[in-house]
Amino acid sequence: MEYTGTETVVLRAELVKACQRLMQTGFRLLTMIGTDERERTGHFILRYYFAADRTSQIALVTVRIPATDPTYPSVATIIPAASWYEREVYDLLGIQPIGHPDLRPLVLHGQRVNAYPLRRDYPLLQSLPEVRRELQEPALDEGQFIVPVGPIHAGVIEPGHFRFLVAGENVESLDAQLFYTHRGLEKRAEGMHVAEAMALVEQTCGVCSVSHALSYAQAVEAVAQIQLAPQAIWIRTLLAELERLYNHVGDVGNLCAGIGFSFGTMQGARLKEQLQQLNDDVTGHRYLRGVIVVGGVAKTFSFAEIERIRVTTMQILQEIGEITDAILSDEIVCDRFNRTGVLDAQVVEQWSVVGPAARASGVVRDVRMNFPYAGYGELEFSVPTFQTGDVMARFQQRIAEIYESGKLIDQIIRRLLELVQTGDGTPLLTPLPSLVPGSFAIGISESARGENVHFVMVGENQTIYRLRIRSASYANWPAVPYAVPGNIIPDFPLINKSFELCYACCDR
Amino acid sequence: MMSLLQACFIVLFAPFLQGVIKRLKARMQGRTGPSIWQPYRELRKYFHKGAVVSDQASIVTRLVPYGQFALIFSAALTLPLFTVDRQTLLASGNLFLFIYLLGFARLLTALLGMDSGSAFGGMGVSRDLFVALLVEPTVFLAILSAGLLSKGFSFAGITLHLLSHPGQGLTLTTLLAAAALLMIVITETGRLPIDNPDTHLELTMIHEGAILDLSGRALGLMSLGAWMKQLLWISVFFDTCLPYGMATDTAPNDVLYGVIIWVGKVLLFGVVLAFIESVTAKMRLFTVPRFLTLALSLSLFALLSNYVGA
Repeated sequence: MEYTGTETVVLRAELVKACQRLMQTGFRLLTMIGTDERERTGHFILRYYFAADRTSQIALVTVRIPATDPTYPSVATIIPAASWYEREVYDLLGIQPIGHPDLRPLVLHGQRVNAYPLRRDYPLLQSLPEVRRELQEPALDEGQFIVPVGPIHAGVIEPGHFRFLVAGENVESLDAQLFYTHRGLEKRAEGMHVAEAMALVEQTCGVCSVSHALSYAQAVEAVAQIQLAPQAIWIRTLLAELERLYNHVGDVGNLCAGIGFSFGTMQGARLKEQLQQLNDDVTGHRYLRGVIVVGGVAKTFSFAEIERIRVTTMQILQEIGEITDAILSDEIVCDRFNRTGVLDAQVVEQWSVVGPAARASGVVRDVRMNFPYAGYGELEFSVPTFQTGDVMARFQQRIAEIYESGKLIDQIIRRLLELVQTGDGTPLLTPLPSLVPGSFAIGISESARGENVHFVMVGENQTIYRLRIRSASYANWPAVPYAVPGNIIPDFPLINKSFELCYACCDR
Repeated sequence: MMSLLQACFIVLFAPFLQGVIKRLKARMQGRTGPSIWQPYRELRKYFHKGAVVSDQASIVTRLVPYGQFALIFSAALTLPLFTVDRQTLLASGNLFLFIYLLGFARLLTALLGMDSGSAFGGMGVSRDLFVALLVEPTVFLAILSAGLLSKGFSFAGITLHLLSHPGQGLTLTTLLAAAALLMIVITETGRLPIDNPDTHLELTMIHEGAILDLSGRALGLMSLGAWMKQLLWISVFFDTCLPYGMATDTAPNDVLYGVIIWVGKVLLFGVVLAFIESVTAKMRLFTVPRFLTLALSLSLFALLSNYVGA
């Protein structure tokens, strides 16, 4: 699958204007990738990918940055969504965005030192120099306090440091410092064989393994320009929906944990466990890892396995209906969910928020529909949306998507049964041709949190030259602080859970 | 002598009740849950562990756990549990003494929470005092309206009156006071829908927030104190509304009978608490006043019904 798109190479001075033109014609920022191509072309190169959801178009704006003067005019001045990408590129590649509104380090905490780990001449195993970590406290008014939380929390959860500016219990602003789980996956991937790197890519995230694997495989397959066997396509689609299902079911329970509603928490955990046991039974992995490989899939499903999937998902769909009805009929639950953590549709547009969070704020944005991949182009489904953008909307969004997933799984199973029945002997795996060094592509897939975008550029001998993983969490994290002010501190865990963002695949 | 025995019984029995409630809750939620002896194991663990004390903490942090425990133990001395013998109870079970001993313990906990200057301690304490402020008048009104029947301000008096006039336990006054007291017990024991005792979300904590910094022996004492407080409030409920089965002297046979009845009643109350916790969610912090206003209105009506003689 390849996206029909246009590439525009612009000069540094014209970058902002070129991006602005795209934004005015209905595009939004999809991802931005900085590459160190000094050894090939003598430049650093920045690639801004834009997507127009309505017209299913991808546009690429490329700008060359000379190695001698690694600066460029910041796009974040007009597109807030570009902010994190530009900060990250500054941290890891040392390319400075001029005029950026918030140049604090993002990935590497502390003050900037002249060490840029993602540059090609920075050795993989060389550790970063020690830096002092200084925090700049904002000026406080009378009665305001800073409440620092984390990165180590009272529960066993991922690390993130949050600084709430509060007056009493009311939160006035929130500053989140993440990237404590930055593992340097992208640096590690450089030089790896494109097929072998799949094991690494799947480790990006625990609960979005399928989506990451899918995005990555699609990017490599787009570079290689290969067609997949139909059976491989449908198995991939089925896995993607199974992943969405167990995530959404688990999140329904998790949201109840945010308000101590043990009925919902326990029922959600129980159903999620059943789905994960199903995953284990049919793929050998509770998180569905190891099935999607570059060029196809590693295994097919037998009749018995497909039947097991059908029966279990049907039963879960029935139960989730009863459980969510019970949850939503509780007065305290509704009081806690309604009007809590409202994410404005305007923030969604500005920050290019994706996935259920965007849809719960009334923005129709789903790459399954807008940029169909795998088998989605042939399936019938709708993209539910809600308008209020509060915790309740995100909760109901997930419930609605669970039902859509159910319908999709039903259709996929029918397609798959036909293929397994006819036993069309086509191999599940399409061999990779020799890849042209320097060619690149992106792969997109919709995870339970939104779209995961992988950029892959290949080097010599089928290796990865540059991999950029832009997870849904990376796109949505900058928007979370906009949903918090105006709420009280004890509501933050609930708001945070309603976005259910992942730290590891944001930090990579 | 008898009251000392009763207070010691509170110390020994409090973790058991906590264990039973936890186990019951787990069962009602479809889990197996920890053993009912788990709180005792936790205490043993805490008392054998060293403590990590913040370098910002003063002597308050070191002393408060003991002070708090002592105050709650003293409060236990004033309460009739399985026997109500006016002579054996500290200050004849004066209810002002009881409430302010616990109030003093709460004050010490507040100091402890703020001592190390951690944000969670401060938040927990501020919420705890916010709730305390609202619950205190309700406590008085509820207990007083029950107490007016006996024309006195002591638990012993109320209990004895109800024991000698069993019919009075079914009056509108007592029933309304019982409903208000149930809500007070839930609030004071830090249970849902006011506070979630099982949460790991440090930003939402009330009681746990104040003691989040503690470890080792100090944490053990504070936990034991909280469990004792829970048992004491349940006993207050029984003393003022349902004292039946309690011994009125110190004869061994009567006392033994009283113990059995009391344990049965307390465990039954534990079932009620576990059930409520399993079916409710935690309220938004600022709707807690609404919950307590309801309790306050109930106790006001209890007081009024006392005068109209319903």
